[in-house]
Amino acid sequence: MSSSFERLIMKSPLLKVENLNLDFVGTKRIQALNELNFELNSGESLVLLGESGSGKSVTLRTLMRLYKQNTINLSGDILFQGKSILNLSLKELQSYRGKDVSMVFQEAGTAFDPVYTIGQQIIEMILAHEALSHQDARQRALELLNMVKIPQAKQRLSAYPHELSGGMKQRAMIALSLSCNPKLLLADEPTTALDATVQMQILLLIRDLQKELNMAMIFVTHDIGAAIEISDQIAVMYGGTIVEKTSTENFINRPLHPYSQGLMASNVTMHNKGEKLLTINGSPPILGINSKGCSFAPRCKVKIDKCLQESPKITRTDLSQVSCWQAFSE
Amino acid sequence: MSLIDKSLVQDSDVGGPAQALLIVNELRKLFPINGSIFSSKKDYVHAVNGVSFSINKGETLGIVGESGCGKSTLAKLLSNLIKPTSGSMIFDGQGINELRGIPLKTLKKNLQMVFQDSYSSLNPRLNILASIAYGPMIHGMKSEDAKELAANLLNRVGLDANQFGYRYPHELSGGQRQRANIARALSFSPRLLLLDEAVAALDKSVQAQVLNLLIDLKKEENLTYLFISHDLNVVHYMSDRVLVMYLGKVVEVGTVDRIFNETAHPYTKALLLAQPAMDPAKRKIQVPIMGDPPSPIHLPKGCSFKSRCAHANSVCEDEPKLKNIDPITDHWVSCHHHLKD
Amino acid sequence: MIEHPSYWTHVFTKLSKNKIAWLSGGLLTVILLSAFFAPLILSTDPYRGAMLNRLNPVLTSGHLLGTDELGRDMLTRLIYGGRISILLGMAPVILAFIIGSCIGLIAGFMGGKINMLIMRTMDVFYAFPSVLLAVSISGALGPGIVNSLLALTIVFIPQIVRVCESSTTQVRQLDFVSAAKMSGASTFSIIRVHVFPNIIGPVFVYTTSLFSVSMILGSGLSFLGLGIKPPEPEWGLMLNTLRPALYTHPGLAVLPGLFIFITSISFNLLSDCFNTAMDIKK
Repeated sequence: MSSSFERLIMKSPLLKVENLNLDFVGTKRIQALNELNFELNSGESLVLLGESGSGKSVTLRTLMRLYKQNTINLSGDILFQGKSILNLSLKELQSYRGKDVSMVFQEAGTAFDPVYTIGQQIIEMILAHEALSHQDARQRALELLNMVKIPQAKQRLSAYPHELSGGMKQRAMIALSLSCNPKLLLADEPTTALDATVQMQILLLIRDLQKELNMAMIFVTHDIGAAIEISDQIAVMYGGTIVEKTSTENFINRPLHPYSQGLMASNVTMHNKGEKLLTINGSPPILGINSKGCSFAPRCKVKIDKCLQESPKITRTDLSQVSCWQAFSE
Repeated sequence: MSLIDKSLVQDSDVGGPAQALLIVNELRKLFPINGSIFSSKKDYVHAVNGVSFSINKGETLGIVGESGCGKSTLAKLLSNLIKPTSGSMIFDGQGINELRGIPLKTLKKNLQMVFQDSYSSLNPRLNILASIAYGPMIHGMKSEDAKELAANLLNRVGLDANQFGYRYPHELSGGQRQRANIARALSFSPRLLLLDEAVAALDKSVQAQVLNLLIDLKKEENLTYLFISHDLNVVHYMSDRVLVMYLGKVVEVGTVDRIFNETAHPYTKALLLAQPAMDPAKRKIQVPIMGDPPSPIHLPKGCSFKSRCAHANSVCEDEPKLKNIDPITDHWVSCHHHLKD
Repeated sequence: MIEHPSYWTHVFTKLSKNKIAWLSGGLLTVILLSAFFAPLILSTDPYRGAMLNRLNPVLTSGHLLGTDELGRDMLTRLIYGGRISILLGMAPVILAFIIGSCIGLIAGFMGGKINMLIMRTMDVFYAFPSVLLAVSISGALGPGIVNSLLALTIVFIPQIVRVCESSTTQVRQLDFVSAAKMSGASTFSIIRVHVFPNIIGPVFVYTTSLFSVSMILGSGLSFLGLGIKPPEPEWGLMLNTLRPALYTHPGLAVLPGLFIFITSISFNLLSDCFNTAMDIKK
């Protein structure tokens, strides 16, 4: 932390997404992301909370540059450490992926190649990014497996993916994603497919590792409980954009956006028994319906005419960012 | 009662209010693996391994458990889609096992299921009205009457029949499809509705709508529910009594209040502790339970939970039996060291 | 109430927008119609020829496509020949489709030992290469068109059973079939209403891809002398009899082959278009 250059890096955000619009081009043009804006600093964790069609998985995949250029139409910018990642050369992209940013997927089973052992795949990842000997890489793989608390790590190095249980595979995937000390970890619903007891184990593991390694993290989920456990910041996504971004505490106690309020109110907990659940009318929009105005307006209980005509601008306060014409109008 | 003019009449209560609607006795389902005509050694997956319980008329029994506990197999056994290896089921006082022909058809009218995957539960080649009308027509209704019933039911579950009736499954959202599935189950005027993870695949905001609908329908149509879910919050909300399964066996069953507030079995306790707190100040620091369930093929001797239990000792080498620890509320638990609160 | 297009309406709408479907469908229609109405559109006799007139090239006066080795008008023989060739192409496949779908449905729906019995029997037939099987059955039964049809039908039944059984097994496990079982419906009703409409797509597409195979196999049998006997016109047989003229009059000798090619490729393209039209990800 001594040089002023390093201090400069520390001040500016690790990741900055600016006015990102993404359309899928195919037989039909489908709008997936709509004026997406947010920042993330080093070491910070953020949850992207949203339902199906909200664009949360698309966001992660765009951050990893997983979409082929000719299948999408992108405008806006994504800056990683001040540099745009949208125009990277192939070599720079290969260095970016895995080393700077890495991803943990929902289905650990499909993320691993079934014909190679776990150890071989982790070692392959390490050797792709760092100039280590095979022996050193193997040692590092072993350390990683211990870090994610896989019992009998040495034997597990030679295990094939199908020999591991769901929870073990997910731990192995986390080890794989951490193998090159990424600065940013992207997690796409990594616990959704797991049982409750295993889910909690993995959530705690990710949370502890994130703090220990001082890694930035973006965790995507639709589960409010998981979101609260894992992070201090929540960004609620709806219709391809962030409608509210605030601290977890604020989200629970003082949600500003009508959608956030609706989500909290309709959440089933052990305290609503006997009461009718408050619901949000209608259902989440199917990806691709392009309409004027706020994407949530059709379902909103407090909408005004302006909401149907103009997309809301982002209002920023110290604590949060909200996209709603009605958010502060009480 | 029912607002529908033309409908199948719900079968009358034969056994009376004191008779449980469904009694399940030592139900067992073993799936053979490595079995061929040539090998003599056979291994079995003990999917359901001696399950006994009863459902009272008008109540909602919640069944919870993680993957591999046998709840999906149990649902298939109860709905007669597969035959049990051993054990018996009694519906309103009448044994099910030996039913054939017309009595079996009558039973099927009384017992319907809503599945987890709303898309694969609907025939992609039939429009929604036709899917719903199919059942009543099988039970003797004329085609026009069945279509009218289907339209009424669609309206009842919150889907405008004029708008949705002739749509095909791929033209509906997940929540809309699940409502259509509920309408389809209701078309038989059943007495018992099996809900096998019926809301698990829905978005949370849609889930709330469907749960509200289910609760309204239960009152209005005089239904009894068997609600299978892995989501403890939803089970708590919906159920009157809860049954906890682990590795094919019942480990605990009682009223929802007793199960959630005076938990007796260590596994149930661990499940409850594994629920995320909705408060950042009360975050978990320690994991309540480690590891994975043992294999359902080579079952451990004695209590199947002992490998992950903090309280296990040598006594647990003997398999615990279900015992009633609170006769007033009928709270049964299968544990030598059951927690006393 | 608002009507929505049914699945098949949707398929045909999609097809009607496909240019290749129009092209191949159009070609096939022309070929089929001309073969069917041959006596009405052609006055020439396909069997009459004059030796002095033999092997006239294409575009000779009075003979649009020339004459064959016995002086018979090629165009007439080709169109009449189409009748038998197309019959050999379509009849065995249609018959195999009817028989094979029934067997496949039963095997797929019943599962267990019945499935094993049926499928392993089919495997025995399937193990033989189609040409070899066709030739051996045809050889055993003797020449003639009926025996050729029979031989070809037997060749195609196992293939259709396979496709049908695998589709049925997949569909059988879906929840809506379970729901139908739970409704108390009879097995026949479940298969008719729920299983059959959902498997017919893949089976149909596979079946249409067999038309060209059958036609070529049938022509092959005739070429080998196992099917049609001269003087019947049939494209495969014509290829055989024109073979000696291949180096001297190649333009004539390849004509039957060209007709086989155009017809079978039209079948294939149309089948492909059906495949695309039916393959709507829902």
